[in-house]
Amino acid sequence: MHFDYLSVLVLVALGIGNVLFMVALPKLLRPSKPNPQKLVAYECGENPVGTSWIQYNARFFSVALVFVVFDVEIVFMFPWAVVFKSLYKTQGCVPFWEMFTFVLVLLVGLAYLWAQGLLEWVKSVRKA
Amino acid sequence: MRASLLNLDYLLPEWIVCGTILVLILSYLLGTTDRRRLADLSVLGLVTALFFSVVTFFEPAVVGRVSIGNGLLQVDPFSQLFKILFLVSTLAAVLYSAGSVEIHGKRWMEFNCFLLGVTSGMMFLASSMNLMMVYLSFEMMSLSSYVLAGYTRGDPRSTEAGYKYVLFGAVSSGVMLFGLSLMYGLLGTLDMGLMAQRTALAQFPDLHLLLLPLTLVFVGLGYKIAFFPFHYWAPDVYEGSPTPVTAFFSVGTKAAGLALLLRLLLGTLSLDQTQAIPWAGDLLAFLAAMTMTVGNLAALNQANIKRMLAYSAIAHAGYMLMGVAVLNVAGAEAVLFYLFAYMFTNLGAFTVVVALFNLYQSEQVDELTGMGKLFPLASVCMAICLFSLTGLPPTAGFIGKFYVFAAVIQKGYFVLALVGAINTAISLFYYMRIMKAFYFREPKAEMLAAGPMPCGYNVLIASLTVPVLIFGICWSRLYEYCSTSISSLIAH
Repeated sequence: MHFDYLSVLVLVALGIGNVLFMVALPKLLRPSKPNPQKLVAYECGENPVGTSWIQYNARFFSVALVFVVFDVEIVFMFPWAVVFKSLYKTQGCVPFWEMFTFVLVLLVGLAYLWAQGLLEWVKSVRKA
Repeated sequence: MRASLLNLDYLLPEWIVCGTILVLILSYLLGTTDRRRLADLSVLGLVTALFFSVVTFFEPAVVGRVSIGNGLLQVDPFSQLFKILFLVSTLAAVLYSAGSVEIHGKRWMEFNCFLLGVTSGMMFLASSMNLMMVYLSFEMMSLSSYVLAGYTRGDPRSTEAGYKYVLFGAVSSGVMLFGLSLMYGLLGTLDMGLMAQRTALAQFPDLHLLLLPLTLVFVGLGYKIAFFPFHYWAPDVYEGSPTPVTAFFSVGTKAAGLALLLRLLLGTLSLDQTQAIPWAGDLLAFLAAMTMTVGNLAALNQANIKRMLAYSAIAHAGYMLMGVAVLNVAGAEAVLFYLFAYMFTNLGAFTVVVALFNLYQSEQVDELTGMGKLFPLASVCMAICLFSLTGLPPTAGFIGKFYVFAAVIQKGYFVLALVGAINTAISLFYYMRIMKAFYFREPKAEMLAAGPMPCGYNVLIASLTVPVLIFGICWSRLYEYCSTSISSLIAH
């Protein structure tokens, strides 16, 4: 049969077994003395304020989305910039125009967001 | 095969569609908010793209298959034929939405951009030769179509449609991705051109192994095409989405799913290999029979035309799957022909629904009585389209069904052919219910007050119905094109 994949199976078994072991072992060893201080959710050492079921400003999401778009743009541009010199020797201006098109598309998107007022933190209430 | 990194000129239709999106946004920013102007722009872009798709279809280099971007994409008659199909259905959707009361004026530009986004995704999908590219273009198509389904924000039905579409879509595309990864694990390549060679190698253990990944991929596609166990979203989404979107979904995305299915089953593996996968044909045949039966039986009792057409679209997916299930060239050609016939027919029928909704804000069969008297041209065209959907001669739907049934019977799937025939008889009932309301009942008094149908809609209806008749009478040329496409698809 296909013993190439046996190692994958072993890895899966080890992974599941490890988790079960790590949970079970302390359960057997530790004394169980809960108190309110202990049961509080861990928030990087701060005392938690209120519950997590509160309403966020929806603006966080749209701003985060815009940020991610340009974040990803850099991910694409960085390797391009690194190899650009050698690309220029072999392929001339083509790589430049490719990246130009890419950035242009994103810029048009940004311009549209701007025109829609999505870049302002407090969006003015307009009639739709 | 002409192979090089850049053959980008062969992707001209895609460039034009993507460029049109940019032009639309820019012209909106520069102050063109008029719906007519923007519609003109996108129609111009689509028609140019359509022109170049047709031109490249006939180009000798394309017939020999052009590989683009190190084998990521391939332009061949198969992909070009599908691009023509996508572009025609997008064109129809843009024209519907230009006059639709459901999509509000100010956000029409965004609507159009999403529509073109789906189209470009579908076009890339038809050309994809690499599993990574397949998934990317599949998601590009899906993400924009989720937005389109939930487009009318204030309408709870539309919101429900969008929400359901996203949930079902996310799950099924995840399953599909898992299938693709298994395929990669089995074959060690993402390149669909290499897969047939890998499976032919002596050390490839067994074609049995391909059944699981192919099934998982089929789940993702089955959801897009709305096959039997994955069809639950379809009626709600079709009913809730704005009507132009419904028309587009029932043709465009279905065709895109079928394009990928055909390419996977016939294009990546050789035909002998596909037929050697145990159960594949029988499973597909079973699903085809179930799909059309479920679709037709559920359509019987629908009072809402849109919902009825949604179930009928499920049934038609079943007929098309019948052609796929035989897993040979004749079946695939029949499916392609059927798709073309179905596209014109369904778009034609939806035009009437859109036009009547604009006039009356109603999609109920019982309310739209006596339309034959009020709108003779539209009603006659609707009748032709419904005949074609049923599969009566002399319409394109008849020829399509004929080819599909011929392929099925040649293969020896007699039970499947019988189920198909019974289903056709069932479907006649609910299609004729619409006809009965249109012709054999008097118009309601409040219906008389509405003005005449806008001229544009009449032209659109007629120009979609005429091909239905033409391809019902002289179909050989179109069938020839379908054969050319399929023979370019078959892996050698």
